[in-house]
Amino acid sequence: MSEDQAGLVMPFYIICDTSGSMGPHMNDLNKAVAELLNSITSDPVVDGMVMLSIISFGTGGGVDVPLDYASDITPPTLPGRGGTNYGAALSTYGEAVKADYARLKAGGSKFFRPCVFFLTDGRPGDKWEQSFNDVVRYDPDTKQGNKMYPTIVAYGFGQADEGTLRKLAYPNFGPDEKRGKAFITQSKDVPALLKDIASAIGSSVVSSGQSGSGGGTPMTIVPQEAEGMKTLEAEEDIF
Amino acid sequence: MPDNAHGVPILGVYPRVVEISQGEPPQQGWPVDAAVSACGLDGLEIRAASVRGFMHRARNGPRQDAFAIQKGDDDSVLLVVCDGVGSLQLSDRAAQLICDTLPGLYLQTRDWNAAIAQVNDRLRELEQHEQDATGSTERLMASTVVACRVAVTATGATVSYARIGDVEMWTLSETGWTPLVGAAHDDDGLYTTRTSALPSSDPVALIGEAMIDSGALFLFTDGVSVPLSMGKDVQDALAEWWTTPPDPFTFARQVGFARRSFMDDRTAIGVWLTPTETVEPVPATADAAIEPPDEDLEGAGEEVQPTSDPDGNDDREPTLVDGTDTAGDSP
Repeated sequence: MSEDQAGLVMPFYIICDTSGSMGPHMNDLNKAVAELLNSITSDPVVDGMVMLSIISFGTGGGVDVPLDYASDITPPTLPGRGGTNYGAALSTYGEAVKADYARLKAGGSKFFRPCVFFLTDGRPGDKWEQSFNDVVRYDPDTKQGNKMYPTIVAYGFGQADEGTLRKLAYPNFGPDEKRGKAFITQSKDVPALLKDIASAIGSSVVSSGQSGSGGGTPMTIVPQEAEGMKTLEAEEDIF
Repeated sequence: MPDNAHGVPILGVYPRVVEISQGEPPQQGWPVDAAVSACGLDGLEIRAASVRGFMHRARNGPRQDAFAIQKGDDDSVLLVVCDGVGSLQLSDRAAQLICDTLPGLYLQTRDWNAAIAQVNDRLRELEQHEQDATGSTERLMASTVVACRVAVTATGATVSYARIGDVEMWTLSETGWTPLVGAAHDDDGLYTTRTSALPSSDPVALIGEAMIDSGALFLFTDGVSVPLSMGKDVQDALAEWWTTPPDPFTFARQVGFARRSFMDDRTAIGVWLTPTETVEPVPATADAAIEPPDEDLEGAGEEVQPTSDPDGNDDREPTLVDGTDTAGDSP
């Protein structure tokens, strides 16, 4: 954990599916996460602007890297966590962001809107919608829900489902500005895929950090389509 | 000092951004990376500096802040600080145009609203010209502005000011830093840099007056005021540096301080109240007794008390004399 000092925090949360089906690819996933951290720390400007947290999920979820500056993070070895419960992932994220906000606010820091990168190779095995609503739903008219809703960028491969990824990235309530992006691929070359996703996320984080150049509001720059991936467009009838 | 190749002091945790290079030569000759000025009046000592931030240096972008100092009427001085809106590519020109024209227009009208309306028209003309030249209909420029007239009195100084956007005025006294005209950056817990700015379809400024009887007055862009408001150590350092006016080059280096996560351009104008020259007492005559002294203004020697704030920043705004801050028209 870096030394506490009040700052303007641009938070990114990387949520990784480490269910049983990811077992053969855990080394590649860990490598991809390490490369992502390296791409951020190689730019001192971005390293000073953004903070990252890494969460893994399976049957349950856990925070493997608490929110911190990339240069203060030791690349983690993510644990395998069994099933594929999106609800566990989103609940873990919800609790983590709440705790991070409280911790950083106590130190005098201020938050920009969080961004979540959600990587999964499977379909959800649980009823996850309630957890999703808890962290994403917000009504600007009544001010009910989570004002600090994140932008979600979802990456699916393996058995991941297009409709579910769309729901994650394009919830059709509240302000449009929360809309992220969803990508899917049928590629079986998971090591190369993870590397490309990490690269795309790294570019997104770096671009987002740069978007705050002088007076301009830093904003999440959603990633471009990675090699071999298909962009899923929003549908009007989601939820 | 210097603590690094950029020659700026580091406040707090080591910020890796001081490791970046000086960057490539700019595409245009102006604005230069840093601007510095120093001057004084009987009773006032003034320092000003504008420094390109690390983010712009790293991305080869221009400094978008600007400032102006101009002699005013009746031994006063006019001060302007502008912060070009970073998301628009020609905002440095908007900031500079405001600095070039607002003091003169104010001297013609003695009315901040009228002067700002004229500056707004000129900005709209410039933006339209640039849009026509490029075939664009997009917004190309915008800038926030805080401007004031400072006049010395027998007990301190009167400050008549106007502000649009998130530029700020603070005072520094023996009790520390106090925001005189502040800005809200929180939106229910989320930090935002949304701000009103010129040009605007409805250029309404926050206008007011204040009295200062000791210490110093500062005009800041948010590159200075945000880290100042968020860090006690920043407040302590800047208070120690600026209890008395430093030499102008030291002042510029200090304005450009490095601090993790704060990489915006920085601009500050400091106005220190200094003892006025001793004036020979005028023999008491009937005529002299009738003539009211300049300093005999209502409320002279007292700071205007804060009232409710249109931005929701209780305790941060002095009495509104005219107009309100505008929340709309953010670029």
